[in-house]
Amino acid sequence: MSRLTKLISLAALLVAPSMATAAEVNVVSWGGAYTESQKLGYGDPYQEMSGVQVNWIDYSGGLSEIKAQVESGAITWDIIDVYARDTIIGCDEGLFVEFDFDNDFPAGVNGMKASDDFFAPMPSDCAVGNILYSWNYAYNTDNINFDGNYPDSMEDFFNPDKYPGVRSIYSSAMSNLEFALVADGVPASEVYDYMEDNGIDRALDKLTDLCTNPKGGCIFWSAGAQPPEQLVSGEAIMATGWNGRHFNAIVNEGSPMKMVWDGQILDYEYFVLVKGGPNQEEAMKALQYFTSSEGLAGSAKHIAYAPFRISSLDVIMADEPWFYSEQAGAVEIMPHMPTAPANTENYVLMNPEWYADNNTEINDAWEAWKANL
Amino acid sequence: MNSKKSDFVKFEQVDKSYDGKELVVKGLDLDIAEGEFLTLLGPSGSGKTTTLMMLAGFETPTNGEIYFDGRPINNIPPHKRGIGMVFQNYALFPHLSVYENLAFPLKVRKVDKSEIEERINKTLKMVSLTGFENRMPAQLSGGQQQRVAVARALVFDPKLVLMDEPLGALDKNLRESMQYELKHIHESLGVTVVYVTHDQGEALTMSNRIAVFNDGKVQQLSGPNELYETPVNSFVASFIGENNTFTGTVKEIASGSAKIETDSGETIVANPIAVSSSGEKSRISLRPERVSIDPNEQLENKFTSEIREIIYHGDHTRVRVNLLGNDEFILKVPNASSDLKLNVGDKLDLGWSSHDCRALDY
Amino acid sequence: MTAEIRTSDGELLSVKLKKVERRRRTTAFLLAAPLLFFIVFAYVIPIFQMLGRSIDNAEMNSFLTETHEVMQTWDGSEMPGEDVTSTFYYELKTAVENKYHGKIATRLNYEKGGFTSLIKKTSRKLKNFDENANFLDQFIDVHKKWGDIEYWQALKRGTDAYHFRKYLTTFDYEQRFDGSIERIPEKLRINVTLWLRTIFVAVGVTFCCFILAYPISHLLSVLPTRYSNLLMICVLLPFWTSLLVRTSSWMVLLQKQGVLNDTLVSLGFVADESRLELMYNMTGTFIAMTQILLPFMVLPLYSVMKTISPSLMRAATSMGATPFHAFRKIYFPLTYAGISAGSILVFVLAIGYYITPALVGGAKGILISNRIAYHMQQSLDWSLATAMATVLLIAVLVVYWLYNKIVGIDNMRLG
Repeated sequence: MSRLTKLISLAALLVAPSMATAAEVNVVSWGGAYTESQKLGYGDPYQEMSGVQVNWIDYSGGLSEIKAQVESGAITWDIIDVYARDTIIGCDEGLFVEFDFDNDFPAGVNGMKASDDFFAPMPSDCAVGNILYSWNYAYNTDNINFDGNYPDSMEDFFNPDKYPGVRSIYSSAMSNLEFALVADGVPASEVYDYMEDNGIDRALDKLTDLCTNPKGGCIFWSAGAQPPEQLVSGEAIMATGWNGRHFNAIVNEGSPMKMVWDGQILDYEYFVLVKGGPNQEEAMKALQYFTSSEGLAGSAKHIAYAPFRISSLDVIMADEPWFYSEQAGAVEIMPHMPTAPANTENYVLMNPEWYADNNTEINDAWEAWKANL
Repeated sequence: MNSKKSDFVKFEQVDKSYDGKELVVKGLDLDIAEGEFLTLLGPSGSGKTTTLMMLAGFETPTNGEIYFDGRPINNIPPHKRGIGMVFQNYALFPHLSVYENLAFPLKVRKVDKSEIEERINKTLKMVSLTGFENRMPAQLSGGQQQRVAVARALVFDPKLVLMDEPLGALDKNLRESMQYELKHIHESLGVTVVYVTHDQGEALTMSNRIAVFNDGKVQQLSGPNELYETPVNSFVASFIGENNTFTGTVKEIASGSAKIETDSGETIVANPIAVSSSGEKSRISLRPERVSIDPNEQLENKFTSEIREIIYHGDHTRVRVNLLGNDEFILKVPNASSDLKLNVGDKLDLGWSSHDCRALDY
Repeated sequence: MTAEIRTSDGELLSVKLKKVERRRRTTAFLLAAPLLFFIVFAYVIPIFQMLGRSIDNAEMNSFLTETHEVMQTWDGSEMPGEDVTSTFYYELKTAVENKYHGKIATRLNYEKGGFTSLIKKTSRKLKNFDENANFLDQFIDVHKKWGDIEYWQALKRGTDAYHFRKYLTTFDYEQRFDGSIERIPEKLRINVTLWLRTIFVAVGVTFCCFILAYPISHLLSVLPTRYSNLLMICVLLPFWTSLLVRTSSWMVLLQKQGVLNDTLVSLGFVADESRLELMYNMTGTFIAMTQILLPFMVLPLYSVMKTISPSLMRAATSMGATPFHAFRKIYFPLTYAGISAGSILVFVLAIGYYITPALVGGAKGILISNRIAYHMQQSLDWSLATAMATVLLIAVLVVYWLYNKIVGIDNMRLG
């Protein structure tokens, strides 16, 4: 976008807000490499195609900001990229538009109707699938503490005696409880069954052992860009994170990092449409394009997250090497997907219902644990 | 009384420089006698305050030695010198009452409580502030604060008290009455006082001796009377009291009198103080009150002047005349003799004795 | 009795004086009015509205008004009767039709966990209810949790229009359904820990600021203007940079591979393997917060010290006090006003800080304000957040009141 058009749109915004709203859509996502992949993958193409300006806004998850906007009656967001849990909570609270799925979203390029083309049923009526990604951990291969003997399991992450050094983990309970139980010997597929039965305490005890071990210790990350930074700076010896962020740090920045695919959590990410957003109609059209077969495949060109549509995978596979970046050139992306066979040998499938239903207890226990570390 | 030392305080070849380029005090030699009220007088920047600060110990001499009661004190810190000091802005401790202010030096000396009370009562009585013990400094008038400051400097019986322009902030009337009060306190206690001021009237009123400072040096050290009547150089003459001057060249010099040709070509007979040979340039100094108007008696110097300005001053009238080319020549005419009819432009005959007319350095 | 005094034009003096004074007062008021209105509308009113949220549950009450009323006669010792369950059924049905059952679920979930899924599941099955059969049985058929009396008890008090239970939560207490007040289970206690930590950090940072600011302020006050201005600029430099930039620079400096550790390692003070942990712990919190808040201590100290005449110390030493004694008895007491003003400023700012400690302090840097932010942004329990904010506000006001009591607010000098 040239400076002139920016200025003009800014002027339009100031002078005639009602006019400006007709030609733009505000999309809120997690920032960094992920937002970049969305922007390059379907945001910019849609803007070029439709002439509707797509604005990208960063946030760090949660519903409070949109809730505040709704409460104050000054809604500025149209589309939000959210956790499954938040689509459920937000939908229950009436924050988001409920979809008539097969009518609202186009069939895939393979001809399958939308509800069949998406890998899994939506967690709520307000959600439309976006990507599959994994929470896994990575380490810095240059770190002298490993001495050539690299970790390869979730157990290793929780074993500071074998691999001394600080761990960086997510600042909320999500992912940490699952990892802890897997490391404690719970089969990956049964993690949430154990949660109901004293599993939270068991997971927190496991985490306490890790974080209070003088050879271990924990720091917490809250933005997806942090884990790779902390690994490179040496602040942490191992860090959990989102596989696409790790992947980009490795291929685009040449960071000496390696991901461990064991006991990771396969999770879904969704778009929601804000009810009463400033450009709801335009936003719906944009969302249809974003979540089309080509749209979802487009973002995989720039980050190692799997598109939610089966048909998008066909698009990618027909054209490998699909991933492209200036630094790395063209890379075959399928082996790096969180859904690739080699990356799904032992994984936990995220259960957003459990988080949505037990949100309060989980968070109370987690925050109290963290504060009393 | 005969046991009193004449060199109770002694400055010996003291130099002081702040910046390493200029000397603020140059080769100062000064003896201060015990019990004496000595004033350091001079314009600002003349080195008088620096001299006082060196004596108090807040400044260190760059060269030379200061002796106090026979002991060299250059290396003694101020709090061990036992010298009382009154500061220009009083420096009363604002958070302590009058009583506590006065008790401070005594408590430091670990004087016991009953004696502290006794001494404070005595001192407050001396400065007529009995009953003000519990006031805070901010609740006192300027004059009262000043007296507290004096009391505080005296309460621990120092042998030497330094005062740095203590009356500078008071109004004229109060200043004059305080001058007498300080003088009386000095006389009754017999304490040695070194007093700094730039006010010559104050210096003349209070001092036993005055050291006139200029340019880092003592220009003249003598009693008030002598200083006024017989200044040794033109700086002192002009600094102390009012002064009419002529400049000229010595033509002829004999014991007790010199003939000097002024720049306007007339010849004045003067008392040679700082000139010794003919051909020297000289500045002639003459006090206004030593000039007679329409002189009848025999005087060496008689000239005619022209009145330029008449200023009424209450007890006297000042008349500015042009005399021998000097347009700023001042006469003081007592108002008792105001039967004299003076008008601007009138001619006036003036005369004075050669003794009163001092030929000083140029 | 005093005679009436009149001005020369015959008016009563007191009346005339009032007239003249009134004009002056009006002018003064008009000058202050814009700021006053701004503060009232942009600050005071919103704050009170926010604080009201801590006890306000009116919206929830309006969703289930009748249920709440019917439940007043239910003592909660046995399962509720049909009057309660039927009323609840009809009101929930209305809620589902009008799409606010989600809000009900979320709010009830604050009272008792598990309510979200309970309400959601029940809402979906509501259309299958037989309105002539026993409602309680049908509720239990839909979800066995309805057979647990605690959910009904939670429903009863969850619909109170006003309640003060969030203030109990603020101090890790809870009110049991029988009305007794007890501490929550040990593993869940968090707020008291954080209150104490917040006070510890605020006091500690205030002390560190004082220790660092005192000498530098003294130096500033005695240096010639051209040097002191330069030094003052250095001291005020933190004001010119955004908080986040400053905090991130501290992260760059303090991290394990950071500038400070690198320097120490290259100088040989610290071995490469045992680099100092300066970040993600209390040390980091103290260092960063002290630097950020230092100017707030320096400015009041400086302004007070500037007014202390150097001759006071000279006077004290001339009277025989050693420099230390003179400092302790004269100089130090005269700086009390500056110390207290600086301390209250730093303390009040520190007690509400959260971005910096959260970024450089790691888990140890979580303070009560982080908790407030957490409830505002993550858990969305705004009532609890505002209850905690109210307690924090009161704590600050108490500090302010103590300050006024001990030092007197008139003595505050800020520069």
